[in-house]
Amino acid sequence: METRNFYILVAAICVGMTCFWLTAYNFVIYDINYIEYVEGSVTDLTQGEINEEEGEVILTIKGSGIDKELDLTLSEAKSDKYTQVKDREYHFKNRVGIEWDEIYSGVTLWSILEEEGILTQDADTFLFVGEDGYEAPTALSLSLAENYENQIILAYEEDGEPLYEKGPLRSVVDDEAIPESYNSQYSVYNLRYVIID
Amino acid sequence: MKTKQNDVEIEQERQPEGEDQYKQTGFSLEESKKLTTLDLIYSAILGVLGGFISSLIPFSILIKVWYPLTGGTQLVSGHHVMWATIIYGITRKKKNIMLTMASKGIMEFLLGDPWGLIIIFVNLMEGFCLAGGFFFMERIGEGETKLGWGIAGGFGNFFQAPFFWIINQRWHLHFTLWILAFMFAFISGILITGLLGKAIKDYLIKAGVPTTF
Repeated sequence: METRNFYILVAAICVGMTCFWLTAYNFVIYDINYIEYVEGSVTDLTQGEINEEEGEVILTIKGSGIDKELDLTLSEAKSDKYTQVKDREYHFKNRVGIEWDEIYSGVTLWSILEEEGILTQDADTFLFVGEDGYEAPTALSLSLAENYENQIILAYEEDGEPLYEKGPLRSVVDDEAIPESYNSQYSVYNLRYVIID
Repeated sequence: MKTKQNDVEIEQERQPEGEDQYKQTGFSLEESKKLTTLDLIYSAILGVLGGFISSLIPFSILIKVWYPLTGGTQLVSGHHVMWATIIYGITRKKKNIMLTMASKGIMEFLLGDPWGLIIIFVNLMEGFCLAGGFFFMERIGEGETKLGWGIAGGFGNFFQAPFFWIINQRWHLHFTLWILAFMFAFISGILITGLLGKAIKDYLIKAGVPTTF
């Protein structure tokens, strides 16, 4: 092998190893079960619909602002126990001022917190965290979730269809709730955690 | 009299003595940096094609199925700049890179890109970085090698990763996700923009697509 090609091979191996270990580190800190993730993705893609396993937890509400962690399955999120919003139009604005509307159906965040009665006295903010490690840039005040109940939801359908690769849940915050900021950054798809502090 | 044009030997009539010698015109303009009509046609075709594919086909799903972390879709981001590599391969003019990326950016804008006019700027910057990559690789004698094309492609594709992550204010994310996203952008540039682009260019020339250099 030529020396040049050998150096290229060594550099490629170093880069590959770095990517592997950084990925593994993130799998650990975000508590990602890789095998389950791939199985779920492939099943959703090949069957063309969300294939929810019985009792599969899709959302965890945790943090210092609640008494106990709450795990939710998709069927629990869709149940009439919580306030459901059906086919409501939400207005979005992004960083560069582009605006658009989308129609979502989902469950209101406040109804889950209120119904379960898990909030502590000091609970103040909530933060959306996705399965892929992405999180909303800042935590929002819980008073927003209370005062704009229908504008802050955990959506499970878009235009009447399940969310597929962006689901099973995503957070949706209408522009009306936070007009001073661009709200697209709070739209976290593959929503996995809601952190209450 | 035999001459070579586009690596093909052709027989040319010997000019009688005393008659004027005419400058060779057509596809192979030696040392010329002017854009020919064919250059413009190629840029338009590849720019429009690239714009459609970049806007309408969600290649990110290919990654999302097996790679859960944010930033993983950078692994296929190289296909956005691949068109500029192909155009450079068949025209060897860096102006064509900028023209193709401008066409692509305009097409993406017209197809309703969520970034609006900024997408044109992003495409132009990617083209500029790619042209710079080729310039640098040619200076160090790697202009015709896979290594040179790969690294030039890596440079070309790298710009958009930090640009979008900073403009989206993603500094609240873990720094390892930043490192991974940028590494994936560079790797995708090497593999898709550089190597795949070179392979496509080679096959196009082999298939008889006229080059303009």
